[in-house]
Amino acid sequence: MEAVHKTDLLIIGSGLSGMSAAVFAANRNIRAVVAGGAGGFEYSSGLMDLWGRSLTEKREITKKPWDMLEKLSEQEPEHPLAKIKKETIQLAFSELTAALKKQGLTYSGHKEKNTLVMTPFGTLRPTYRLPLAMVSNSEAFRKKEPCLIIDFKGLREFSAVFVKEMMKKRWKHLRAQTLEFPDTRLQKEVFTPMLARSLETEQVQDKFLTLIRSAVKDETWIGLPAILGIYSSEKILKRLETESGLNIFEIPTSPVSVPGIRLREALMKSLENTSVTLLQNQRVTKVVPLPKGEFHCETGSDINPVTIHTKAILLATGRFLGGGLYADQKRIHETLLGLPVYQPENRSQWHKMNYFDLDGHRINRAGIETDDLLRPVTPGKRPVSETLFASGTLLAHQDWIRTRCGSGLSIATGFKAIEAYLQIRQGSQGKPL
Amino acid sequence: MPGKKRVTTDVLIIGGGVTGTGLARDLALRGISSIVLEKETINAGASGRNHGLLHSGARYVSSDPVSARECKTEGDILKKIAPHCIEKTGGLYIAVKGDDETYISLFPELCKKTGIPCESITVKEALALEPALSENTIAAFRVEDASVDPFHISLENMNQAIEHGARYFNFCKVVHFKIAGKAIQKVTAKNLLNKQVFEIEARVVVNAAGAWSGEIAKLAGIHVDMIYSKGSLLITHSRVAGLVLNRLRIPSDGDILVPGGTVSIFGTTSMRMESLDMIRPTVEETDFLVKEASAMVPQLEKTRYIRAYAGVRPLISDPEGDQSGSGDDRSVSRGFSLIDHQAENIENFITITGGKMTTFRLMAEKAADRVGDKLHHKRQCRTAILPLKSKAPTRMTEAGMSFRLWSGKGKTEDITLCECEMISKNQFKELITWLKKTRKTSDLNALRVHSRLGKGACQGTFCSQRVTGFMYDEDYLKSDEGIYNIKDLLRERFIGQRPVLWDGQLAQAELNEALFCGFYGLDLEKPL
Repeated sequence: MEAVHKTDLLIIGSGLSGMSAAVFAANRNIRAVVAGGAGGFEYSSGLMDLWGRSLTEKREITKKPWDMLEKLSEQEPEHPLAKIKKETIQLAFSELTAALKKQGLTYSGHKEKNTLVMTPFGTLRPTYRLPLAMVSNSEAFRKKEPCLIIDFKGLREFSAVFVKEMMKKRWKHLRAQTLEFPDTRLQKEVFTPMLARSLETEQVQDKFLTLIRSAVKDETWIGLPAILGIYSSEKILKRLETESGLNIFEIPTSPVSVPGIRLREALMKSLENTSVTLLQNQRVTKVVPLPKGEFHCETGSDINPVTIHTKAILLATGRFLGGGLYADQKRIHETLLGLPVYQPENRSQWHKMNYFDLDGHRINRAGIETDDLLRPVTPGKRPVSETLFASGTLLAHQDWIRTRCGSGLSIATGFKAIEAYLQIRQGSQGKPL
Repeated sequence: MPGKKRVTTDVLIIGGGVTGTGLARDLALRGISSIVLEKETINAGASGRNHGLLHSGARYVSSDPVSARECKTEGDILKKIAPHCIEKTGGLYIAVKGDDETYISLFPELCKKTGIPCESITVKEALALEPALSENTIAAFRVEDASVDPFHISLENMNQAIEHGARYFNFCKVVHFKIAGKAIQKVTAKNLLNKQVFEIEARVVVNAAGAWSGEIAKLAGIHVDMIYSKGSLLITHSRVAGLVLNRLRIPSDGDILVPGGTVSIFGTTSMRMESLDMIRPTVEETDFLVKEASAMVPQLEKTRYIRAYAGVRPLISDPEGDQSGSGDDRSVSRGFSLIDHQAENIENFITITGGKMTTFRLMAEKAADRVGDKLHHKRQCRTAILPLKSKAPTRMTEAGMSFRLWSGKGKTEDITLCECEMISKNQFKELITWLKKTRKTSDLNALRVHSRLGKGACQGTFCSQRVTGFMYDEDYLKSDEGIYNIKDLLRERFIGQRPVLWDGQLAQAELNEALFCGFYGLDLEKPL
């Protein structure tokens, strides 16, 4: 027998936007179901950006996200973030980070400014919020005191020498060293999630302490690939720092990304015992609109497919990698409902000739257009359905990659979509939804 | 060496394509010294931008029987001297419903007359041999086509030449000929990497610059009338067919599908270009090719493509060659031209151009004979007898080969850096060491040319970072060189990816951009 779920709101997609919206729904005691795949967290840095690139002629990293968002409202009024007030964005971030903090994942950062974090490429990435384990990352770079960057034998995704060489013009007292992670002598390849998991035990932490103590010379700062545990990263960091007397920080690491997994785990945990049910690894593959604005949905899992009957939908299915959009040889399509997709005229227009063209590829601005309540619209700009909402990178008129606004876009539109849903629900009180 | 002010040699060869490197090998084996000057890297032009098809000759039986016979002879020689660069797949000529039946019926006759082996088989047999074929197949013939790795061939050419005393300068461009009396006395060249200018004194200068031959000749005040005919091709994600599949019709667009290791390649288009700038495959050509080729192999309409690429055929305009009068560049002779510029009063200057991959050895032989005459050097050509095999680690250019080499050696300590193409750390190490020793350079693009790096499904997403990290660890890279290496690689790879970005490959490209621009910030990185 297939399970049948009846719910008020189905959030389709369990990436950052869907999961944030789920947290906001839970906080408002909305009866909701969230269904999706892995959510792409393993590809994310674990940082939360808001806006990281200047909007002036000279394209460069910016530390002033709010100034840029102000400019955005003038330059690109159609941009989803241009339609959300600063206070609302701030509320969304603080509500989400408060929920994460309850799960032992503290995100902090300056209220007005971006912080710059060292990447595994030795470049600096602007971020609005950063996890505790990376706070010292930006401090270390600011102070430029003697610092040891460590990598591990058999770990292909991170090279300490790479970071050191890239940084050395700006930071003289930087040293790189390769260590053998405890108990990995017989493994020829090691992966960050594996190292992070093994650091969850005190025994390994003890060995790890001995290891880093023996490696430091005059350094007081230690930079590591992101491996400090998955579930109790803050406790591990604190213990290592206390017992070694060193400032230890993580450098976000290429996929598979531990800080991304931590974020996913904390988001999932924060939904436990709430009004929101999480259906893990259940990708919605079919959505049938019913009369009265309701929907019949099915997931495509082979093992235990689920049928969901819902009164409203929030579409947070992402773009091409997430599966929310699909491109054939000619056109871009929305995959679940065949919604109209704002897009360039033909495939020749999708990409610029130069990969790194600073204006970005046109296809990145393709997506779903909505009304002010984040409801997808028809070409005539009417909502497709009263009870269908969309959030996150699926939305049109934004280039989250180039402007470094992926998290801000996902969280703020997720927040706004939940608010819009409530508004519509209240507006139709007494009437069936 | 480019660092020095002046170098001398018997022969200066301009162009490191299959003809230039083939000529260097031929001369070296005769005991004549040479320098190959290449403005990019080995096979950067048409030699690296073709099907990788060793023609049976059947394609030219109606239009150019001389070329057809040359293909047959040369194909047989290459199969003997360079079996490690060739996969003897065999080929089929296939006609589908609607194709010209007169041509179909004439084909076996023409093959026979030209001496090209060709066996008629039933449609049923053809479909059994190659299930990917269309059900609309109406006629099929077996021929002796094979698949060849042009990079492997040229690298072996050059390496064997170097082992016999030749020199190779890449990223060096000819900027000036000093002509005195009836000879080029001095050639001025520029190293495009370090901007150093140097001089070469050679007794004979050979222009083997392919599509750029006209530009080189112009430096000597000589007009060579070139036609720039662009041909674009597509690479599939996985191998679609076992045999070379040719459409049985008058040569046209998108009618050859060639397997190459783990992938298949098909094309081409033929488009007249006014200049050599912006030779890139386009979205329109891609769509056209997919449509044309799927008539013969229907699954090509649905399959995943990794990239597209375009080359320029080095054709010499010859009004008498265009017998059909159709204006299609395919009817310009695919035979080669050896032009001795003695006629234009420069006695030590030759241009060798035209022709095709399959006949490069013969072209090199004819050019070397002429060079020999000019140098009064009597030794005979030996390239048809001696194995085309060097001691260099060239086998990594071949798809799937790294894994075979690696697994065969059973090095348990080794780890894979490139997962799409299964290239291990030690293999990169061996290659880098060799590149450092012989080429004085070992950047990511050089590794790409000499191996399968960045050529698999991920097109560099994961391997470029790992390999760069490894190169830093091993002290091959310093300071911020690594990220500009990666930027160059990604920029270069994108030219070919752009026309095929839909379906799964578009999702891959999105991830790639999210990582390299969104996460690592390479789009905004400028040298300090």
